[in-house]
Amino acid sequence: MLRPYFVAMIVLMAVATYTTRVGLIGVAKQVEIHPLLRRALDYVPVSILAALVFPAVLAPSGQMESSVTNVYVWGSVITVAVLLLTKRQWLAIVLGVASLMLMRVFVGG
Amino acid sequence: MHKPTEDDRHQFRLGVVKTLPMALGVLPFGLAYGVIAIQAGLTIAETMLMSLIVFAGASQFMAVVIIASGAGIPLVVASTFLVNLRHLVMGLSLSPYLSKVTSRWQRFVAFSMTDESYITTVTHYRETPEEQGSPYFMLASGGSIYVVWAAASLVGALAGHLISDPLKWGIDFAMPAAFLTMLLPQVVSRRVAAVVAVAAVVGTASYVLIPGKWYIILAVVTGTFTGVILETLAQKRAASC
Repeated sequence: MLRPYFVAMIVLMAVATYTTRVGLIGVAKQVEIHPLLRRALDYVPVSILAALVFPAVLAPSGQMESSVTNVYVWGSVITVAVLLLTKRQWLAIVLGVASLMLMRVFVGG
Repeated sequence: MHKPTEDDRHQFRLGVVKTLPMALGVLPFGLAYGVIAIQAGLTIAETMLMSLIVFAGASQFMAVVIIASGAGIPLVVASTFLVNLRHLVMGLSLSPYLSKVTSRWQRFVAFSMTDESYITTVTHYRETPEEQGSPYFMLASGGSIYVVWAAASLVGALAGHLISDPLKWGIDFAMPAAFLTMLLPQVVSRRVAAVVAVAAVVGTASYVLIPGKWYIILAVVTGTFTGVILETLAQKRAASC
């Protein structure tokens, strides 16, 4: 069942979201990007990755937690260790998540 | 759009394969979204409509939470826009790699750009020697996330009141873990390490202190600023030697 009120809300959400997605993707086709900005753009992916990793690990509940008791920190340590040792992305993710779930069961938190 | 060549097909397959770890990470969030959307009072059809045409995890979570609190359309739509402003930076960052494809392609692949497909796509474009990126890769990357997100939302919506919170078991860590495995190989110099450190500190501090997704934008601004300053200093030093 689709109620008109919620359909209107969702369609407007979709328009707002698509506007942000399509807004600047065509910029380089229209205008020459300034060399300084072009250089700055080189650092965008690592910055975004850092922002997607660190807050989620250091403050999983939205607040800073002690690193020693935070299972997300230990899960990350295991993920990094497995990646460095085996160079296998899948294995690192799976063992990282599995170890965190086990820590949840046995240690809590 | 011309008929896909063998190379286009190859790029498409590569896009699917390289996005799989991210798609795995998206799965529990799609489930959780489906569950809380139903609990917030949306119907299954509405829950799915949102996943299919909005297709933006963070803003969908936020929307169902504020729908549940009784907020109206203007607040929901404005919040959606603000939460998704970070896409502008991602689009800008991808635009040099897509400057030779048609505007139609750009508008098409833009629809399915998420945090996950952006990271996978931009990393792939930077790794390949060609200056231009294949739109087929981005299409496959975004498309993979889209399919997983839609399927997981549906399962979550159907399970509805049966599941309490699929994120509490610890599988929510799959997402940051996947991003972590993307980040690590990219830290190839002390300069990049410094950028990561600044973005991590600023990102985490603003995540704790400021509601919404501003922390990503603040981390990007300070991180790229750090990178450009360090790069300029290094060039000056090299020139003066």
